[in-house]
Amino acid sequence: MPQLFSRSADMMLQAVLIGGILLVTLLFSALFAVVRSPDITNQNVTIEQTVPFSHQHHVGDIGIDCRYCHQSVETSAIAGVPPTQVCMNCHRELWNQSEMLAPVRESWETGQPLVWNRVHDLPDYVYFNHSIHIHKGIGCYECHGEVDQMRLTRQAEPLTMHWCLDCHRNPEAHVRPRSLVFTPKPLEDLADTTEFQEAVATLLAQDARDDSGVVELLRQRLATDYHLDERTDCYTCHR
Amino acid sequence: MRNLWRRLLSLLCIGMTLMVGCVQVMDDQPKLDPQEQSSFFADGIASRPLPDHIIAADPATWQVRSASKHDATTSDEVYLTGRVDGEPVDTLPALLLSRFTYPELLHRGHERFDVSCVPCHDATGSGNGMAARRGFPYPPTYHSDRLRSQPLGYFFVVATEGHNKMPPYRDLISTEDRWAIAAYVRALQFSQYADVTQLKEADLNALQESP
Repeated sequence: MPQLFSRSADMMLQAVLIGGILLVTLLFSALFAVVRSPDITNQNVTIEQTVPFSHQHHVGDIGIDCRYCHQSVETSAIAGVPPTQVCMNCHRELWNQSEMLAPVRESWETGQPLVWNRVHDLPDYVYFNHSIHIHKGIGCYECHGEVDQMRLTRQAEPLTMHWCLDCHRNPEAHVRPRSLVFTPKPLEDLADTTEFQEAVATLLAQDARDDSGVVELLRQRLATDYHLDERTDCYTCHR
Repeated sequence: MRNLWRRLLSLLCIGMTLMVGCVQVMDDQPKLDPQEQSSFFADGIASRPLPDHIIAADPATWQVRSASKHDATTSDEVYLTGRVDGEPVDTLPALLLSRFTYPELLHRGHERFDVSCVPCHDATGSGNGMAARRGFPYPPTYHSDRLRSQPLGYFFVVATEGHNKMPPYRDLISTEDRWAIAAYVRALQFSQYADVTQLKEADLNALQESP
């Protein structure tokens, strides 16, 4: 009886097997890469708005607190897009002839709200709550980035579930003193502020204060103080 | 040839099955998010405006009313308007003091002042805030004889009703926060006009050592 398979058949089989596995892996990696790419997540995509509102001007230059406009951020799930009344507090006097702000004045006169195009849009089955993050010492910066540098608002982070879980598994790496929650800078850059110094002075022992890892030490201490735990149950975010 | 069609068809079936996961129908459910646009209402506003003749209940007055059965209308009115017989009151309403201590009020007032008032009035109350420096009419400084002699309720009334170019903040700052801010404004005034003899010795020494 002659040989059924040629000498090279073994090689072929191995090549097909390995090649197949590689192909499948590659396919899945490509899929995952696509889902996490800005094309799908909209990360750093600037969205056109009716009124080209600049956080860089209002927060960075003028220094208005986040809560002047986003009033419900400490007490409810949503930060709240301000009513036209808030814009008009200043803009009935300032730039009140400006073409750029014509839609604001029109909204004020007609009572019809301005239509903003949503920048951060979580799926409807995610029940994100701003207030609890604020009260647990998670700064605006952690999700919204350096808003004071943004001419037009863009989504600074991918907002994927994977990204949420990164922090929910290890909130200690993201906590900051409550007094600095509304400062849109990384905590490492705020070590010179009075708020940071005060937090260090109240929370850390004398010998730890000059440590080069003082930010990490402070974060560890804050995590205990604010009762931060891993929050990875499905029902933390889903109902 | 038939074989090829069959293969293509099965590939298509498999492909479609796999693509089911790509359509995120639950991403955007029929429910309405706060402030979302809605095609159901003619004006497109999902968060419905209040109907006429509706007065929002202030949680503070509500609480006191349900705790003590007596009619608290008079003190409610002072609390809500800052006025007695049309004139600003010179004390903090009892309703407020029954719920907060002075340090709590001043702390809260400080925080809320920095959020809502600083853009025009400046952190010290000098009236040189950034919005004013950018062209909004300068508000008066708190540190004048005219404003130092005003009753405490005056600052609450101004925050509530607005004054000259200042818009009313009735809808934007809660009643208790407006009282806390008024209290803090008093503290600010005192901070710039304190009698040196009233200082404690430690503070006095610190003052003398300062350049």
